[in-house]
Amino acid sequence: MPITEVGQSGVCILLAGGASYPGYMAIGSGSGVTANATGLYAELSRKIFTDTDTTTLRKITWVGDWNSFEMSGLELTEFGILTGSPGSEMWHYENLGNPITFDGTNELRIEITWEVI
Amino acid sequence: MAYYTFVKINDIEYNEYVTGDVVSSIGENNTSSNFTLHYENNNGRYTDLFDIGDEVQVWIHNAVLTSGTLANGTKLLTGIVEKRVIKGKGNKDIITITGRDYTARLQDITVQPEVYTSQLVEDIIEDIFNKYVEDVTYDKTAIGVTITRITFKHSTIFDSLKRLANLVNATFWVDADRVTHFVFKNTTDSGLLINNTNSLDVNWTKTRKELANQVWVYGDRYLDGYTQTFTADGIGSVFLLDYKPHSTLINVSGLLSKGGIANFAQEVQSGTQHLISFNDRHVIFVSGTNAGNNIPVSGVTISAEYDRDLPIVKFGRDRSSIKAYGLKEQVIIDKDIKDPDEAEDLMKSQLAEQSNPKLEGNVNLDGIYYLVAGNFCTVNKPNDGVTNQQYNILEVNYSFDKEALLREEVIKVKLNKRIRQLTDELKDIITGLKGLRGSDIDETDLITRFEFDEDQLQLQNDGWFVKQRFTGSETLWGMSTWSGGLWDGSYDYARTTTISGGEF
Repeated sequence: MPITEVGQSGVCILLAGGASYPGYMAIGSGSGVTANATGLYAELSRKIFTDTDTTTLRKITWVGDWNSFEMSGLELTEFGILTGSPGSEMWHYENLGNPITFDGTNELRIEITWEVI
Repeated sequence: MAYYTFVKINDIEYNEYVTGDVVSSIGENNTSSNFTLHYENNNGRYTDLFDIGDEVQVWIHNAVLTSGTLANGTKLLTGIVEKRVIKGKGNKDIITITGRDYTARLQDITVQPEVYTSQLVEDIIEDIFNKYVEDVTYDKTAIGVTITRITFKHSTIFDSLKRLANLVNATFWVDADRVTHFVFKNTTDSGLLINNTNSLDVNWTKTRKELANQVWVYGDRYLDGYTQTFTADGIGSVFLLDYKPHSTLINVSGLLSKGGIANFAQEVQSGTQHLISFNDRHVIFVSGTNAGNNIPVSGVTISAEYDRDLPIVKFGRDRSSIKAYGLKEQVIIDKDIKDPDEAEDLMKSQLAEQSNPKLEGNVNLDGIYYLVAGNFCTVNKPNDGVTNQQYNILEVNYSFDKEALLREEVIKVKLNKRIRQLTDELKDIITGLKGLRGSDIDETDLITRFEFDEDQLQLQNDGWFVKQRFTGSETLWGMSTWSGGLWDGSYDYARTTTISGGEF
């Protein structure tokens, strides 16, 4: 489930004036059937979003970037968006299944879009 | 010439109906305008297209209508689908949609408990529309009649308008543009002259059945404080009150007398000084072994303070009608009537409406006409005893099928005064029951109000992309570990999507 239950609840709390909302994207090498409430299974890196795009009506896109040095030697199997530092809420989680291996010649960008329908 | 129709459902053209009916009606009929349309539903063609709540619009014209020429036609009805029936039989599937026009809104909403005092009819209606009505507007037309007092207790807006219409001899309807008209009867001329050249068949019914030339109106009852004094003669023990007493206090020489109810027990309870006989209006001072002698002595002043029950009753009769048709009574009991003036207004309007036999006409018309119920027409059928009479159009029934449209035999009109049917009696029974059940409702009641609402914010993950870009041994400007590599904008390689996903 890409949008976690924590994320769904978080949206409701946010509409009620809550101050917690996604600000970070994390990548990891772990695996899990369901999403954790607070973070990835084996987090490799967590960064502030490179970009948050709301120019399309009813949509929001979060962008996270990692350069080739940062990704060198890593295997990417999971990523998510979170509200803060470790221990915060994870609002979105995705597990890729098969890992993507980075050999130092590729940088990484992850774009996640939510739509209100 | 022939008739041509145009049907839109949710703003999409659906002219392929097999048959259809559109009935334009006014409040007097206890019904709203309504429609029925039948379509061939082969292979479920319309199953997913027509649903409850869809808006239906129907136009008619004497030339072919297209979506671009609708302004040339006459819009007969704008309504809402309230019922959908799909019937399958062999290779012939039929889908039938029926519904009411926006009069439905007036029938579905009630006027909250409120009393209107000394206000013009049109101001009362305007206030009701401003407070309660959605989707329908009111074309405020001067009536100029002031209603002394009228009370509404959760009666539907339709029934409330009907009460007002009855009081001032008016009629009302909602037109195809969702505008409510409330006007005196026979105000707007439809321009239609019905005579031997355009009437296919005619039916005139005149009946004494609903005649009433002596009308009683009973409203609510009130308790009113009242005091009577007597001077005792020392002999008599029974004193007659002017009214049947409620909550009675008897004072003898300024001292409160202890009372009881006459014939309530075989033996008068000890200490009882007087008894009240409610229906006889008697105060009976008791004497005997148990009670002792409580008969006031001569010259003592007896004061009786009690509540008397005052009814609102108005009575009126039309002597000329009695002379012509014989006495026929109507008794109206309506606990919602809290004011004598209101009762009087109702009595007068009932006499005016019902002191003569009702004449109802039903005419099948030949030719092309665009009629709206509520307007009036002129009828000249001397052989039927109707010579150049102006009659209100109560109902216009358009029946559409291909042959009827070609023959121009589409319209049936109901004229003048509606003769009550079983449905009207049922409607009266239901309205009466509502009145009984709601008799204790008051506009000053404190209401604990709860408002419930819910909506869904469905968040959908439109997608995610994991993108890679080949960089070789370089890094890009702006990255955290940049060490003299290339500017992002000057880099040769584009990002490529490695993997993507998401829920759609």
